[in-house]
Amino acid sequence: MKLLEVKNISIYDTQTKNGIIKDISFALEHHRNLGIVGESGSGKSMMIKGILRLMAPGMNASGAAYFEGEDMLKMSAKAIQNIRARHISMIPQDPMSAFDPLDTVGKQMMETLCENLKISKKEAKQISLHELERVGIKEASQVLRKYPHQLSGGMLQRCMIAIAAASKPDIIIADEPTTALDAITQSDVIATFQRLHTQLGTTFIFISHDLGVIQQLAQDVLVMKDGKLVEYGGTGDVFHHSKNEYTKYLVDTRIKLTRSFEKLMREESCDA
Amino acid sequence: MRLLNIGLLSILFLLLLVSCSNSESNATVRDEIVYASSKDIRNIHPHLYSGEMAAQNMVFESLVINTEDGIKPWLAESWDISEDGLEYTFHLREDVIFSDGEKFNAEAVKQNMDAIMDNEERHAWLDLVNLMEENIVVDEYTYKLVLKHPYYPTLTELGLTRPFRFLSPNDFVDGMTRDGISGYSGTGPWVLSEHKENQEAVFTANKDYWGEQPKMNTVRWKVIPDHQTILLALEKGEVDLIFGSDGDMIDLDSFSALEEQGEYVTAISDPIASRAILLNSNRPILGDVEVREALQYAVDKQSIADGVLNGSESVAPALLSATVPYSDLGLVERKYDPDKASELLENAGWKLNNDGYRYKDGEKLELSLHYNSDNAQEKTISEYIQHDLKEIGTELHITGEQKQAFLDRQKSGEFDLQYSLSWGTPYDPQSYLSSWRIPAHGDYQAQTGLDRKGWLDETITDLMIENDESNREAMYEEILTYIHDEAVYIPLTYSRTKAVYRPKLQGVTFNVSQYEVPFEKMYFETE
Amino acid sequence: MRHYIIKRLLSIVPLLIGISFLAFILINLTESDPAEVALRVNEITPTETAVAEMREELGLDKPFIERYITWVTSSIKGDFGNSFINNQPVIDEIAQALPATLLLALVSFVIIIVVSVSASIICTMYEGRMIDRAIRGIVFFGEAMPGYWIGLLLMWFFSIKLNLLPTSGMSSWTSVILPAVTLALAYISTYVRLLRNNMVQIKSENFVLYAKARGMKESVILKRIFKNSLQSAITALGMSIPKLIAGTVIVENIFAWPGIGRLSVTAIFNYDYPVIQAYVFLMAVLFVVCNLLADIVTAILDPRMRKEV
Repeated sequence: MKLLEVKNISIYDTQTKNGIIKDISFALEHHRNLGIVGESGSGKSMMIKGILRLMAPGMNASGAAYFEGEDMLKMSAKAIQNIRARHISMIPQDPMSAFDPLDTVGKQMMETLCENLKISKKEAKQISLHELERVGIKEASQVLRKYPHQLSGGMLQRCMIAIAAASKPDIIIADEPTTALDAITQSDVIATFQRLHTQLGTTFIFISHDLGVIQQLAQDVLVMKDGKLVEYGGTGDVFHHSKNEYTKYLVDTRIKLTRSFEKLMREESCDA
Repeated sequence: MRLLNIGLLSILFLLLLVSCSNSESNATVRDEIVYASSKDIRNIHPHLYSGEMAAQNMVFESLVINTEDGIKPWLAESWDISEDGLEYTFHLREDVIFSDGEKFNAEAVKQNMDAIMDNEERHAWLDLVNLMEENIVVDEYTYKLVLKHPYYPTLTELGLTRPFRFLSPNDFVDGMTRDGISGYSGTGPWVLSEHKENQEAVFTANKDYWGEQPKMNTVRWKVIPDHQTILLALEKGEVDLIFGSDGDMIDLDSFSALEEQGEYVTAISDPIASRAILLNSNRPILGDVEVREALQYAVDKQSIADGVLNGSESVAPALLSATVPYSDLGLVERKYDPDKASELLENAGWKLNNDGYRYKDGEKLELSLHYNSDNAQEKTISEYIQHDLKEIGTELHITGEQKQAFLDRQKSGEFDLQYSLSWGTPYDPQSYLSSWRIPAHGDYQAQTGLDRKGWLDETITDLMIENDESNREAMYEEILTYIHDEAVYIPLTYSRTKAVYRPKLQGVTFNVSQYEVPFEKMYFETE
Repeated sequence: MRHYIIKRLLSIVPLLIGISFLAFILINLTESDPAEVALRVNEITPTETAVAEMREELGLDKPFIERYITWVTSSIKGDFGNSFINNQPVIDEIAQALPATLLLALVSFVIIIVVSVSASIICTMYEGRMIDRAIRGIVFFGEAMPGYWIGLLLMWFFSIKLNLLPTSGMSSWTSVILPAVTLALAYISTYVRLLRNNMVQIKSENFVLYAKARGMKESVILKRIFKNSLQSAITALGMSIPKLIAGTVIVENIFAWPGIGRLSVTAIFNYDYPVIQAYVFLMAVLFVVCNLLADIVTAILDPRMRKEV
């Protein structure tokens, strides 16, 4: 059985009467990470939010999204909350604004663990420290005491990853996990994801407009444009042997970028 | 969700609590009258002017009282006036005591009168104080007042609500009262037993009162500043009586509505004071008596009486009502006659122009009328007059002003038309006319342009000290006729005091003075 | 933090001086001569001599600056002179009337907080649905209706028709209910909208999404939304206190509530300058102080602000 099966999902804005996501179907296989790529505004985040029932009021979703045989779009509020707590963890974009500014990161982290894993505060603290270390944070106890505005984007991103991993979910969805970070931190985070994938056996869905990241992390890829599914298949096939004009255009653009950077670097090193 | 339920429950609980605490308000035996006023009683010092007169009247009494039938004995049983009018000898009642137990006698009277004389400047508005020469104790119950020269309104003024009322000498401070008093012990039917400033005052019946005991035990004077609230309180039964003159307590529309409703009793007194428009003879346009006369015919007084005052007041044919002493002179009424008014203006040289207004030598016939902006009634009356004047080609600018600015204007004389309300009985006519001599009053200012203003003032002065009744009558006639002929006042209506009260309350009457409320005569019908 | 507080405290000093100056010159702005007014209020005919005497008594013959300094120095000591109407010390008059107003303001404040918070939370929870719109609609009407009218309407309904409460005055503990509700109504709508709009805005913020994504309970998320929305609301709520205290005028008049609102109206109509000056000055000081406190509280509550200072 597939881990997650999405059938004909469409999302539609009740106020503007516009269709945002138009009839997309895909499936997530165990241990095969999925990458969802597309330009900004193609609806990647929206679709995931739709599946997890995290949309803003005024948005309607139709279709079905089966997890362990049950349609998430039709579940009760309590049931979907349970899924979000223990089975499908989502890490949203923009780590700098992801936490409540009025409370310490530690409190928010422990609160999540207490709630989701039904454990005591003490146990939650232990687990938090352990998970933070696992994602490569050195002074974990210090970090717990800090407020969100006192930590860097990369730190916060890792905290979020730690929280996601702590409940040992089946799926972790990371939305633009590297976008707000510098290159060095980016590669750190990518390494962390790879480690988690191996250690925990979690299946990931990565949403990104950065093809390079997707190529490193995902086995399957889904290309979106304007809310529609453009191409869907194995990463290698889609990137290297695409028949689709749009996909080819995306790949080409990315290659051009990389090439010009490499060229720049070679010139520099020549001069040096 | 739980929060919501808690919230609803607590509201329900509160409602229950509140309704329980309310059910004890059904007393069947009423021995208290609840009176509502928009003003607090403030300081009821009998020799000063800082308190509500109605309250002062409840606690303090005078030697004589003013009634419809003239001067009657009160604390003084009888009196003799000397031939030359300079000495008044009063024979006092022997059974009166102040509420603190002190005996009321000639000595107490002298002390009070001396204290009043001591504060002469404060009482300058009342001639009697200036004319008091000496207070003499003839014997225990005989007091003699000696004047500097004869003054015919002496008894009338002694009977006024203030200042000639008596306070127990024990409450004097350093033998005088001008700087304050230490208590409010009077001889009257009520004693002030409680005063919560700006909230309420409670008066209890004076057990040792010499006269007829009030039938009720207490009068509760409640302060309710808003007129609408007073009406609602009356409707609810929290208030038994409201009393008022000149739109003071309730406006006329509400009064009429209450009358019609029939759930309350409304009562109206005899004419009390004169409502008139003052025309300033000292101004260029109004200096011409023909113009003033024309304006007299131009105003439709009946409309005002019916439309604005809801028929509660009668049209005034002359400045002072025929019921006022010395004023039954049969002066010719100038009835509403716009044609005659136009004719008079034409003759005076004011010709009608295309724009509907009159002009003379290039000057437009325009006048201004200022009213007190707090008084909605005055505003409406002004609008009526504006309309009436427009009909005869006169433009009238009406402006509402703050009370103080309004009074400033009266003093400075910078007005064409102004509202004038006479003082009312028993102050009319002597105190009213007396005030015409004082430059600070609008009446004085308006009369300054008259040829014979000097004579007018002199005659008023002479009249006060004229001993001979028939001479006095003649002088009054001369003055009032002159004023009437000179058309300085446009008489509108005669105001009346109004009362609204619950049907069970009986014995509601009016005193001669609109400022007094005779609580002692009121009582509740026993079930 | 301390630095911030001291800085703010110092900044209000020039403000207070300015206010005292303005309050003082009020007496000179009208055309009427204060001495004449003082006489007239007591129904004394303002003759030349009387006016001259009163001018001397009130010290009006001295130069402006001298009068101002005298007024300020005695005001600081609490001596605002005597009322023209009854010659009692102004400070006594105000002290006597103040408790009634404070009680009214306090009860109103509690009502405002309770109703605003609950209504706004309900609106946020059911955003966009019937109940959200219904509450906002009702609240909108509440704001549009003038206090004078609402007060009388409530009085008529609850006091006369239902006979539950007294119409006016300060007779029993129930007397405060109608005036407090009338007073509160005007502000409730503002705060419901403010809080609700804040919360709705915050609802769409990233951290709310993340909290939901982490599987947090609805109630916990609501608590966080509420706390975040408090920031801007605290300043507004803090300022509502002086507004309540100074704004009881109409309500006190209708419900015959013996507070400083009534006192100030009587003073204004009678041109009782000493009382007016004192009232204006004290109210202005109250506003400034409350503003300062609100700012300080906001700073304390927000860890981001704390870091900056």
